[in-house]
Amino acid sequence: MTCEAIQALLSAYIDGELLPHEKEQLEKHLNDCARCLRECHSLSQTKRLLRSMPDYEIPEDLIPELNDIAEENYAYYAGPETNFLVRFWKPAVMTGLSLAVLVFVTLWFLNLSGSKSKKPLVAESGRTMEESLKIVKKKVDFEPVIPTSLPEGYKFDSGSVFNVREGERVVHFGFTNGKNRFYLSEGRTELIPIDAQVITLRNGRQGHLSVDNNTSILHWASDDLNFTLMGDVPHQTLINTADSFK
Amino acid sequence: MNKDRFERYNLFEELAAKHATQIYNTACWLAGNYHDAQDLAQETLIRAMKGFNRYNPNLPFDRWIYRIMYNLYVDAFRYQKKRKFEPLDENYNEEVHAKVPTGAISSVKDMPDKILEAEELRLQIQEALNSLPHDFRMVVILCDVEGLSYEEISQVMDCSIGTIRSRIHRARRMLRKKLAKYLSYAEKK
Repeated sequence: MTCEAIQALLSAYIDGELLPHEKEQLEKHLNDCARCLRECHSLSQTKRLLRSMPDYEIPEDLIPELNDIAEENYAYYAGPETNFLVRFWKPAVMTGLSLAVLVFVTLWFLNLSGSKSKKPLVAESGRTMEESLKIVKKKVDFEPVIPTSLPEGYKFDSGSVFNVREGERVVHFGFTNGKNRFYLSEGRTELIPIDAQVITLRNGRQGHLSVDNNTSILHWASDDLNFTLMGDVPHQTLINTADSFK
Repeated sequence: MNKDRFERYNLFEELAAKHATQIYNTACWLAGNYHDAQDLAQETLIRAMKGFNRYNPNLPFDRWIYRIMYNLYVDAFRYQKKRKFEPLDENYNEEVHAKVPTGAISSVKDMPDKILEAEELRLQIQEALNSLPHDFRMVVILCDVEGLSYEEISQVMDCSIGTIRSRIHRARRMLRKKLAKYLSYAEKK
């Protein structure tokens, strides 16, 4: 074989992709040809150089983003809205919020039905609520807030950001006591729950409280943000949590 | 939500989490800059998630993902105005210097100039890859970075093994020219 023909096979030889008879011919040629041997060596060095590069580290803020995308597209994957949503929220609001709330409710019903707990898209890093707040703050155009205290036995579990629609995002925090779970959702999108009892929270804020199938829901507005607490917990748990906000 | 969809979604999550580093790593080498790499990785996952009901679990998930990524890259990024190449760490110098240990240096590999040298080398390799046509770039990334066989690469890129063989060879020769002064670094590893 000519040097030109041999050199065309060198990369495949380095990668172990030659057929046995090709390899035999090539190695025989390399034994006698310093030029092709040098060519082989330099191509091999080029491969080793690329192989030597360590993987890029996934950036910290990519992980919540991947989680957001998973959560957002979970709704796409989940199918039609439930009757609960149609009954509870006004249709005009539902149009805007259906994506975020569908995910919210679907996750909740899956927990109630005893389904396997949902694993995040990328493994949770075990962040605290404060650390998660720092990350979600970078993703939204408002100042998200967290409760200053949690009901006894409950701890922070998850934080993420949903895209409700173009340019509009909702922050979502989860809390659990190992058995029950509730969620806090906050954003600019206005919610007007129907069939809700109006209550007065600390500092005179007006809250809207309702129950559906053992799920308590508390909504209130403060400083141009809208908050919703929702979970299979007593009303008072949600009220106490809402009262702990500054 | 029906149980079957939920189980398939959980399966997608497990597979995506398992391959997250590979997905992001390939996106970085392919896209060549931080912003495009992040977009590419995320768009790939979105498209994969939406098409997951068509995925055959008997096929390797990474090959399926690479194919999606490559097609996305060709469609979406190929015709965009190329961004000016920038280091993948936005605060490059601060990031590199942040890795310098403040305590006693326990081994040669922790020495500051070695860290800078490694980062500089990565930038040079990235720049060399950026100069390749996209199909050459992809085959080299899949072969030399991710370690796929020619047959596996041919499945990802939907072309013959002969074509893969030719592209890898031509790509390596182009890279060798651009990286000539760094080739000896491979010997030190």
